[in-house]
Amino acid sequence: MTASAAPSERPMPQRQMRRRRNLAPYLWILPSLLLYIVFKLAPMFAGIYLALLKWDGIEQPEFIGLRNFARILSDDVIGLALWHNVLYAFGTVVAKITLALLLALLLNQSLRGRTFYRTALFLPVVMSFVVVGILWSWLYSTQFGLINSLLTSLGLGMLAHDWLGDPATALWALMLVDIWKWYGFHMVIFLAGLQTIPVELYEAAHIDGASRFQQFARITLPLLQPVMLVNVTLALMGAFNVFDIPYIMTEGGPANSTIVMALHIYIRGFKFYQFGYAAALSYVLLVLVTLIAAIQMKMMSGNDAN
Amino acid sequence: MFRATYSRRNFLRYSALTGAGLALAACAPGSMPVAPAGEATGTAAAGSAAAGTGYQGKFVILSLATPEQNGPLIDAIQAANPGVTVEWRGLTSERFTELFAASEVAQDQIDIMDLNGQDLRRYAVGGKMKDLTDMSFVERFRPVGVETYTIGGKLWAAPRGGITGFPFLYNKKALDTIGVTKEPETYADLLAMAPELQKAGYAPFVHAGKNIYLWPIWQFFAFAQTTGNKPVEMTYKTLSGDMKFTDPEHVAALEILANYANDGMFIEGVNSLDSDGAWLAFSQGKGAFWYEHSWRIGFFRQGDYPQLDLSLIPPLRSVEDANIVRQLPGGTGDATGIYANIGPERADLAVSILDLMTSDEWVKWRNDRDGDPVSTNINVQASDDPLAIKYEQECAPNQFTYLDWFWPPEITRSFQENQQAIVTGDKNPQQAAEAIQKVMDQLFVDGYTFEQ
Repeated sequence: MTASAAPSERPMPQRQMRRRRNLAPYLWILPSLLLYIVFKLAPMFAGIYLALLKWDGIEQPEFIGLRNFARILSDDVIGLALWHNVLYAFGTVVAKITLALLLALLLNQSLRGRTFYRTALFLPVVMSFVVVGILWSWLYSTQFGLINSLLTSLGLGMLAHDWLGDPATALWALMLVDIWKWYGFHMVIFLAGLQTIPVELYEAAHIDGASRFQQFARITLPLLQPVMLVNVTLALMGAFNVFDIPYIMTEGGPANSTIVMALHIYIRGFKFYQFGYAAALSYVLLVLVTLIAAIQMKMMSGNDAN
Repeated sequence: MFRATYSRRNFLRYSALTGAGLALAACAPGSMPVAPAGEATGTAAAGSAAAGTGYQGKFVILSLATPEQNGPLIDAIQAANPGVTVEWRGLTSERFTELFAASEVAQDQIDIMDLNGQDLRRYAVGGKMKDLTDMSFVERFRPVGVETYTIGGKLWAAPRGGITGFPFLYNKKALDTIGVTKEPETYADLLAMAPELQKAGYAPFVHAGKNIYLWPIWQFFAFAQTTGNKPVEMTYKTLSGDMKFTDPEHVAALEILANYANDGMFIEGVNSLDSDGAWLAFSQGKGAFWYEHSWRIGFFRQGDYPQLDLSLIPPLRSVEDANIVRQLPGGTGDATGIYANIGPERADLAVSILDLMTSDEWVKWRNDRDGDPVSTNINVQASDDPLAIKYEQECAPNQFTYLDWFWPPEITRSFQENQQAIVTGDKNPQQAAEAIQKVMDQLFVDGYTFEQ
């Protein structure tokens, strides 16, 4: 080796190499992390500050401490909105999960045109909420709607109804749309779960004389439990965060019969310009949804342990 | 001593510090909305500023309309002011406040504010608009527009566009079918012809009840009648706390709506009918009357509707007193004004551009584009359509400002919800009035004050 050898050709000290190696993963995730901080964490913390303000977007913000949170207790609409969310969760989760499971079981068989059915049933999931909302509004229309026309043509005219205009049926009509929009999503998750169950288990059960129902009850359902809980968790969280369908189809009406928490927050924030109060409500909803998710996680971990 | 590796703990620590720094930067006072105009609300430069104010560069107009809708106007502004580039930002009505607030927080340049008339009060009272009281070209506007945009004795915006409102549209074919040749004047007239209309397959009234923002218009015209044609004055009194929504005038107005519902005047499924559905029902001969905005005149002219022969009347008189004038609610075009904190180097230019935007030539262009029946400018004939002329002669003289331009949004929403409840039969007018007053009481508790 001569003295003129360039320093860059010298082998890198081991310590420096180790440092670079250790630093590399962090550098790789740094851009995503910065984006996460700027677009998720920072707004979340800024939102907490906003919840402590009285601000209409025009006049100077006024710091009012926890008054926005205290005010939630005297908000007449919150109880109603939460109750609608609970009803929504109950109605949609049970129906979506049941329907999705049944369809997944069906489409897990070797059927002719199976791929077509899977695609067709999944299609509503990828449709825009606006399209779905408008489409179903027209289907429900009293004047021009297919649903009432169909009922009438089947001789069931007495069942024709102002589905979205009657406070007694409006929320249930929205739930049906939600079920239609999302069952395909849950079906695909169930399908994925079903395909992880070893066929040998069914063969062994068959040899042991187990009926189809016994195979379903003793093999399929228990092994689908983790997938089931993921599905239920997602459906529940979706039900408590629902906004698009009521916003597009009824705007919370008639007479607040379809008001839900997210829509109530939107109205407070962007119709009443009570940005601070809307932020406070959002954190209450966040806590609520987190609690529900935590309960689900607990159940999941319990089942995993078993 | 230099550490050779970054532990996860340290990495998270530095990340957290970075995040906190960013969050603090985002929350820093400098990024909060700037102070209210205060000193900046001096009167606009008197006199119609000519082109060539010396400023060259970007000029920002925040508007409800899109730049695509205003291409020729933007070109004209730029041609009149060489070196000026107009940045026309189209913020939708729904998101105007949100995007305006974002612009202010970011300290973006804002020069002209082209607002929905409904929103002017909030921006003017909030100190965001420049006082235009001494504007030299104020004489070109119809007085109703100037009055509408005068708050607290000061003019905050120029009325730009059309004077429009909500007449009762009706289908002449429906009335011809049942042999009625004279236009109805009272609710009793409508009630008398309703059975015949229904027999002929017409619902007496179409209404887009799903669009809840359309319900308060029923209260506006009815309240004008129950207050002896003093809807605005009584609204001022109510919002100032000198009157309540449970007072007889308000309840009686809600009762008028209840009568329409209880007497079966509305088309089946009224609460789930949107504007498109209502138009379909009306244009296909399923309804005889429709309480709808005057812009439908232009819309009607552009299509072919064999089942519809459109005409219009002022809202029907629904009170006993025959001396009551059949007033209708309406608006007076966009509220186009100057941002209070406009850079001083662009203040004269803004007046000059406002002058151009509200000139007869460009308001006429705007009227033609939007099919307005009546122009905000005295010397502009917006339309020679017979229906527009009918509107100008029979409706516009008795027009008053939409009351929800004064109401706080909480009251508007409360009316919407409670009027729907009246129509569905879930509440009676008294219960609805009490619910609305409860919202008003809460607003007063929260410090609401009303400035005339």
